[in-house]
Amino acid sequence: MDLEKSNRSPVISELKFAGHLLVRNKLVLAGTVIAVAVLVVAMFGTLIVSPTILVNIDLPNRLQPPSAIHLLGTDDYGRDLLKMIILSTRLDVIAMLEIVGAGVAIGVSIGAFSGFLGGKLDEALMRITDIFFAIPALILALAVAAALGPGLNNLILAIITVQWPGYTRILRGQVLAERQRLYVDAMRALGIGKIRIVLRHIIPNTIYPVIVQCTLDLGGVILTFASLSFLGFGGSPLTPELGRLITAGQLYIFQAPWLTAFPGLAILIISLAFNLMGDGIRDVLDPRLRR
Amino acid sequence: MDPLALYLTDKTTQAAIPELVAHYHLNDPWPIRYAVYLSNLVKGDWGYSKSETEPVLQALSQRFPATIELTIAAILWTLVIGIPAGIISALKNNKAPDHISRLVALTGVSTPVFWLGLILQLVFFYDLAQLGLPHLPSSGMFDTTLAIEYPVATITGLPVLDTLLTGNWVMFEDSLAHLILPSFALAFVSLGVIMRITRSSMLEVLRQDYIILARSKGLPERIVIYRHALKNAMIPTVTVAGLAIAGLLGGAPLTETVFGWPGMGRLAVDAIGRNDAPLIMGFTLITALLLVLANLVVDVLYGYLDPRIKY
Amino acid sequence: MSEAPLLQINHVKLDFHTYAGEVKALDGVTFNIKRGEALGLVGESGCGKSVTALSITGLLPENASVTSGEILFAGKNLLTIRNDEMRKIRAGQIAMVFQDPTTFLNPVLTIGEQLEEVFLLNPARLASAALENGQSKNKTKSSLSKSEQRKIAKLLSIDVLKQVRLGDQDRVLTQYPHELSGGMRQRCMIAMALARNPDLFIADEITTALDVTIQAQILELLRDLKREFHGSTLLITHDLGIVAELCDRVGVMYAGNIVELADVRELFANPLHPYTKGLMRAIPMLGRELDRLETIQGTVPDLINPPSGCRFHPRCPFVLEKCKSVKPELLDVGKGHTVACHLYGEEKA
Repeated sequence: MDLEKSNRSPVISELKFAGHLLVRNKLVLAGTVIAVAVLVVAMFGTLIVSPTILVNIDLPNRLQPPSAIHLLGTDDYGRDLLKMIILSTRLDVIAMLEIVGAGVAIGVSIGAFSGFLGGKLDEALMRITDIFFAIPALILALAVAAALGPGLNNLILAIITVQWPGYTRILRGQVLAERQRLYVDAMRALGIGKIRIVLRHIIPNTIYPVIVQCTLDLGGVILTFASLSFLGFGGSPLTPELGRLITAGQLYIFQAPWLTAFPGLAILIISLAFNLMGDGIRDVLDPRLRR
Repeated sequence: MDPLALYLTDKTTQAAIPELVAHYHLNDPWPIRYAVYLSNLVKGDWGYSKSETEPVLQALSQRFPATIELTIAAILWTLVIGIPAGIISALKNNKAPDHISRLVALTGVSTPVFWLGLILQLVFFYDLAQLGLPHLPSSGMFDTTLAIEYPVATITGLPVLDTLLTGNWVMFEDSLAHLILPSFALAFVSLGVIMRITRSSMLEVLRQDYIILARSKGLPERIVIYRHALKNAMIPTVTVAGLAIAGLLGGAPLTETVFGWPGMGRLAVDAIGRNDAPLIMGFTLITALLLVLANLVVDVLYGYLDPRIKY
Repeated sequence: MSEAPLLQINHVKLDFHTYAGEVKALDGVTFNIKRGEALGLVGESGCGKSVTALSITGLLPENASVTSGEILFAGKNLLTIRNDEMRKIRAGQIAMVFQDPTTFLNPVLTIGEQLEEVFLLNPARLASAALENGQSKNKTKSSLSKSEQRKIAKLLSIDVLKQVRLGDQDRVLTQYPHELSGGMRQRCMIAMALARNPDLFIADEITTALDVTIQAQILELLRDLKREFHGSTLLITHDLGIVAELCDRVGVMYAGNIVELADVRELFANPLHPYTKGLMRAIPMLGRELDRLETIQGTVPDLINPPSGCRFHPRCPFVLEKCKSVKPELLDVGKGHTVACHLYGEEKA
């Protein structure tokens, strides 16, 4: 009887434990569900709401408070705010994923090779990443965005620039430890090239904490993106983006507060959902919490 | 980026350009230009703001106290609310106060600072005024018309301090009222972070063996928590505080913009619209310096808390 | 001889609630400690010795619950008294020393601070010590100022550090735990216990985490202290050698039960329980001819699903049918020797 239990695949018991943790914390579960919903909306946003609504100007109906027809009210061009938010969510979420994805790719590559190869290259790269840490993230992104010029892609690039050093630091720390392990020496002795060792062995073994960290970062990245958008970076004023909606809504803040309140609430909810999901993932993957 | 841009302003004449180029070695290879730039920084020459037509350093230092006042107030909010909330959260682990403060903390790190500022203005300025209730002002550091009657001295450049030092109670109240909303909005994010780290490090410390020993001595729980546990729990918190300050400095431009606060951040944001590169670079530099300074303070504190650390 | 024991533990059962299930850590532990005697508690890791000690001092973790039994001390049931009463008992009557001096001392407080706070808990005692030393200006007991209290506490701390044979006491008081060696740290922990002048001194595997040479030093200290200390001692260890040296009586624990209890000489001369016999045969002893050290077959049982009946039965070379279903109770077989085994008592032929 005991023998059967111990023979059962460890993966199943891992998943059971993960499920147990997730369900036990209702908040994390709620967050994960919402995050998934947001991702779905982002993926299929254009099917739900056609981008043509952007030009569907309906002046007689401008600045209407929330009602049965327009659940969240209308903006200064008479466009339905709910639809605008749905459309904007798509842009924000895609930008968020792009930023974190590219940040991880760059950060992991630099961190892995820097840590593995060591020497002067490692020193130099670490000094450079130190510079990035000396400047508050938002301000550095701001400066880079200003230098790159207007445009959505430039904004995304600017935030990626700020994002990758964090992952480099995490991964390099892991790689320094992993490098000491015996299999590395064994492979080198067999003549396996350094690049191959790093790509196929070192990185997969050390990437765990980076994965945890990047899911935690998702919520923060979307805040940075929206904040810089709010200030005027990235794309034209007509781009449907949640931060931009607030910039526009700001003008009417006292007459039509819903124009400011709801887009911001949307940012909050999206960020919160991904933060909760990130927390949940970290709880599941953190070996210290295992009892 | 054109190296000349750092030193050109709207008022520079064509004739003056060759001299500028010679003075700043702008035609030399970039290592020399970089060296010249650095040495000029130290000498106090940070270039000229394109539109302000004044030296960058001067423009920034004029706005510096305002940002400092805002940031320090935000730090106070963070520590005064964040740390006790974190402790209570840890002590009442998994009960109502814990769930509430965790939710607040989580909401804090998920809230866009600029939006929060706008909402606070909406509620505490506009809505309250509509209802005829006492309300908080919406922008600026103090009421300038009121200041004509009660002039604000310039000792430290921080109105709240200056009015306090000179006994100017009317303006003290006024500048304090102006400070509340923006500093709270700025603090909201780091408040959550400090709450969470205090909670988790407190929980971690309370699990330690030396806490069992302290209890076994028959010490009252109050002493166990505040004498044995707290000092240990503050170590990770102080480390995180350094990061939190980075967040505060980063949020300053947004908050200052929303609240019309005459600080460096707002200057930088305005500068972006005018493509004023030297100002932006100067601002970036100053915040970097401030952050390094803050981290230095954090390191010193860290060494004070943990006797195992020797410098 | 018929004096009431200082500590009486009756049929204490205790469970731990864990993710994997209920761990039935204590299964009806019964023993007592008389005034002035040193009782040893031996057994393998995980048999419940430390848990028993933690139950006595009320320091169990949150997921532990006592399901039945009582612990009587000075006329009170320690399992049911209020928290602040238990705290007072810890402050003045029961003192415990733990296994690892590195993790059990607070790294950010000096030895002096951690020692003096014990004395500062008892202002009355400080006052009478002050009177004795002629330090106090007042004749009345309870009116020492804070600074006077601290001064007296410091003097008393120096005294107790001398008691544990630590030199340069003034310096030690200003040092932090990480600046001392392992042996010194353990002496400091012992000092913190002695400082309270306890009626019951509990030592939970206090030499286990130390090097062998340091172990010997601490043992020597304990031998000296045995002469000077007039309270009772509960010595928890897995080392039979320590038991032989320092204890008057010994209890053997297995999987949450006391399986045998006897005077120390009697136990070594005449071990009755199969587990005790196994333990004895597993260590070398002077005056005995052995070719090999024997091990006890099998492993420590899973306490979430413990064996039925006698918890030792799966490993017992003398197992009877009865052992698999009926749990044996502690029976007195004479000379103060009790054993929980079906081989003895009514069933024995």
